[in-house]
Amino acid sequence: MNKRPLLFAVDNLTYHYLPDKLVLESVTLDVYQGESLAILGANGSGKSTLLKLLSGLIFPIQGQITAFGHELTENALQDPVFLQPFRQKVGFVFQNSDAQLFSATVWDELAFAPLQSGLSPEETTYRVEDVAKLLGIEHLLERPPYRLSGGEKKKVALACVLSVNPEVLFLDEPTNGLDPRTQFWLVEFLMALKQAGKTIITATHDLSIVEDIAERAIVVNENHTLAADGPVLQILSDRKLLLDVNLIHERSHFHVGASRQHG
Amino acid sequence: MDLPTWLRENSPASPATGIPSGRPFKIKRRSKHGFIHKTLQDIIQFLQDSVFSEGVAAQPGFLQSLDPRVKVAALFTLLLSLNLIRHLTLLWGFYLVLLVAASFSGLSVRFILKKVWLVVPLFTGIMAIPALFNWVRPGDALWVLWDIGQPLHLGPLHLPSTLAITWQGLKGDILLISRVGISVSLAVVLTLTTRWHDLLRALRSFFLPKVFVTALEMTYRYLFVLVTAVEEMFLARKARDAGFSTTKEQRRFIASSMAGLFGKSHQMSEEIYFSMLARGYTGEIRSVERFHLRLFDLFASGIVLFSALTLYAADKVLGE
Repeated sequence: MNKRPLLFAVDNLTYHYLPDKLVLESVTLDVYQGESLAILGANGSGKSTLLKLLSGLIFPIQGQITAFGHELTENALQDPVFLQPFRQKVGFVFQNSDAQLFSATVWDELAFAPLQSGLSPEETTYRVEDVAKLLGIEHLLERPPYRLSGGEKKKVALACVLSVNPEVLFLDEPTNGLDPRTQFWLVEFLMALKQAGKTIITATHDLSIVEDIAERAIVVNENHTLAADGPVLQILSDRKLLLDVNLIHERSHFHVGASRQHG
Repeated sequence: MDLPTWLRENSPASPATGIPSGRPFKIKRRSKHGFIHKTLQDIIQFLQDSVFSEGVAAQPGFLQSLDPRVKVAALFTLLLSLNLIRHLTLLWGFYLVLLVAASFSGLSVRFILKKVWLVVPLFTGIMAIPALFNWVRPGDALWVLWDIGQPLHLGPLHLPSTLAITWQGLKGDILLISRVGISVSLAVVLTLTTRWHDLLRALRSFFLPKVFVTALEMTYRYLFVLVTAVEEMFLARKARDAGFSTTKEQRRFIASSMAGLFGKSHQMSEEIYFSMLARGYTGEIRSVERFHLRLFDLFASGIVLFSALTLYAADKVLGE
């Protein structure tokens, strides 16, 4: 029995975009405060959809999600009394940074969420400068997002979510398309956030980072059901499971502890 | 994995190319560039232009250092004044001052002249041609083109017996072209010395609704994403083009890439909306005003207002 407060309770959740093609089927799961959870699965298994459902961007066809003690429905999120604290508590780093960075400059990008959550212009300016310094992107503040490299975009995407100081951070394939140095930086940064007590939920199929950024993992099968839920080392040690869900190939040389041995 | 035989060995040159393998061949120059080549060049030009403009706007300079709100207010004040005055000397005198200011701000005067005066006389000039003639604008004949002997009556229309270019018409046309050219030059100088997003934000300080400015900002921002997507699609097509695709095939490719891009932009618009929702967007955009009006900006505003009023007053004093 987990003694930490329950943040998200997912009960028998089913979702589809087209009625005959299920994206998630009968998923049940609990997420506790301060947990670092990895959602593992092959391409198209439904990991990203699960993140969108948990962050109240789309809503279940069947089943229910409870977030911070309230049922997460479209109606509940119409109510500003629930919506504003919910959006402030939950940050989402999207896989496609180009879609996430929609403002004219990096400064505006970092200021967007604090302003939307009702912070004063002075407090917002302070937050923007602080988070830019933290991530080493001060020199990019006046640049338009389209003139940033892939690694810079990812840092800005992370900064623009952190500027509102969320309790829960959702990351969708965070290391996709990043060079090794930026990838390593990102993992270290997520580890620091984990140490600070943030709840971090990462959807990925990059097994090399999982044991560093998560203590628990759930595995989504290619048939869109939950295949496993347990401590990350236990999941990563289960070669048969990883093979079954198409996370490794028979000839893959993946082994647990690799990142620590080589890091 | 078993590869088919044809994939295991290098293929000889395809017979469709008409180039026998192993024999040297002449490079046949294509008579004209296809759509793909032209579109790629246009894309590269667009990206170069925008990078150039951003570069000029970001460099230190007199006009660049002014508060964008002051520049926008100055533009409207000067446009009003310039379009009310009728003396060419005053108009061109102002233009000279504008070019000097632009030059002091590191702008290429040649670039501005080329950008404005190669286009404006063409478009405005064509529209203004009818006003040259006495049939449209009666006046003192400067050059008689056609004499039909007696006045012409076409229904309710009564036209003089001669068709001539009038002195008043010519003066009016020169005044119109000068006004348009100088007004466009002012706008070019403003856009070259102000970054696009600062300009939009300055417009918001005056009268444009926030949501409209945000939509414009996002349009400009995603233009680059879509242009880059188009460039990638066209480069991918070019990489597989052996140079024998017909115009019809290229047209078909353009049509299908338009459809592909539409789908892509639709998908992206959904992702952007989710990303806005995830950061607390509820239909209202909140923003911080980051411009700081300095004494220098107030001084510049005073100078502009004084110049606009002086130009107008001088025009009145000089009379017809």
